[in-house]
Amino acid sequence: MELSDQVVKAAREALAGGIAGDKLVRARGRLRSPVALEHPNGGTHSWLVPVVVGRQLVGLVQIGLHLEFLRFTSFQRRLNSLEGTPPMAEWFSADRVRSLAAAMARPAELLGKPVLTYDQIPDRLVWRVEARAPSGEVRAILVAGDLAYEPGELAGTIGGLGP
Amino acid sequence: MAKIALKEARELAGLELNAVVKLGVIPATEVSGARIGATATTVYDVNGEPLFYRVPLQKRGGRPGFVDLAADEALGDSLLATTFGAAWNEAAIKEQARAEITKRRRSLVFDATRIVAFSFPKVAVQLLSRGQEVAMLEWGSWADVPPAAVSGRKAMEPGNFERWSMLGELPVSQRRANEQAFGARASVWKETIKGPAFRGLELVKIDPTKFPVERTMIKLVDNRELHYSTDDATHHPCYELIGQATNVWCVGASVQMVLRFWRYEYTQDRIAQALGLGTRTSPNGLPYSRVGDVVTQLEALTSNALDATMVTNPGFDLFRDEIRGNRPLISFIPGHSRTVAGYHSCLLHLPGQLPFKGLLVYDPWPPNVGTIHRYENFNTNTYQYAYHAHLTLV
Repeated sequence: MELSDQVVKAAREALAGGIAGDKLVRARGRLRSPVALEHPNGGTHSWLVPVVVGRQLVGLVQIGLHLEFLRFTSFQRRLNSLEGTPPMAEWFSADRVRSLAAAMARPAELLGKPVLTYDQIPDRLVWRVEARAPSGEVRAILVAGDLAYEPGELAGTIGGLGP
Repeated sequence: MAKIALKEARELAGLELNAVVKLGVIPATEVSGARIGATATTVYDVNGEPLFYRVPLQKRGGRPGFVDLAADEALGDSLLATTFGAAWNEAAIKEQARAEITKRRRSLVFDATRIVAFSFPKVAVQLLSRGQEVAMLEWGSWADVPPAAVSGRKAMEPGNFERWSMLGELPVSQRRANEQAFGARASVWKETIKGPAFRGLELVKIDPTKFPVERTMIKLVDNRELHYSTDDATHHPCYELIGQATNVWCVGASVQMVLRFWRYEYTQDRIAQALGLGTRTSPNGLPYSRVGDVVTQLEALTSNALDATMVTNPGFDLFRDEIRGNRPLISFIPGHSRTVAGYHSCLLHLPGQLPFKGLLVYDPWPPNVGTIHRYENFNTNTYQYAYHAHLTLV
């Protein structure tokens, strides 16, 4: 069995076992191909299996490298409701992410392809976009939800950026 | 610290595994006929002591699998985890680590390798030369595990991807409690197997048809989420997600969620001001040296109507008991804060963990939106602090 099939199988087992999602998700959710969550130091940290109902992205089942269930992150605001869920195409849209990152870009910087990773701790999912200056200098811009920002250090704090 | 010999670890795990199969928690088809292997990988703690054994489950024609068995009573339980669908091949893993390091640092010299739980339960391959580490690579990602941080952080408060010693950092009181729990459980089994029904039984073989413990009725699932009252039957779930207003205000948003549950209407900016988190244009996180401020502000912002408590290294039972009492909690994990509004505890088999314990987490990340983790695997996270509060004035 291919690794991606094993990851999807683990996600399906989590849903079927009742430890991921609600009744709506379990009854109508469809699993899409896993997406690698990149480790900030390189390599793969874990896998995210999108769960859709129709075109809406209701959540992501996170599966570890050894096929262990890590969590189900839901975009639902209410149990058994699609309210607040983003369209799958929008959440994974590279154009949307790049346009948000563009607000943080300096003049003449070129933006690279967004990569799904996390900001220092795996709970904080972000898209990382590399901004390359004409001098060759490369820096990262992070996009979380509708917010773009430059990465900082957690520096011994809860949340980041000590006073 | 009491170490456990592999033979004893295998037998205790065999008893536990037989029991859960007998009870139908794990499908019998999955493991029936399997044997807990005689050869094991000793997985070492960062401090160099044996921490647990990883042992292949051998079953002809069955899916590959392995079990993790405690090598130290400080872990509190004999059977730590059961994994199906993935094989554990120590030789192949070490070979891959050697290949990876050779690709990156051709000149590196090493004469030994061993498996180390660099951040329990995450494991890595440690490469040594004359007994001294020269490199450590995380299993699977093959990322270099950084050396131990020299910062003066508190015990059991590791950062992400930080190596830390489970045995070295476990608080003494927790270690004692775990050792007692382990000893009590082991004693029960030792008494049980003295019975005639166990005579001649191969304890490391999983065979529910022969295992002489009568089927017991047990509740397979225990879960709850916050409701308008403790009357779940007639009252709706009652908790709202609030996103953090900046990329570093997770604590502010978490406090806001809890206060909102108790019907206190504060803006996140106002809470941030009280907690010293700066302003929206110049925000900062909450330093570890001020984690106690959360207690102070939960009480101050409610004029002491709430009596708040901070718990270090909270266990699952704390979260469960508070949710049963219909009270939300704030949960700090390394570098991040979220709130907990429910739990789900079951004995269903899942690859990797047994039994499953999960939290319903209202996470203020990403900013302005937030997400809900329904559920987060309690066994795969490090919980540093929890805050709970109850009403004192009515």
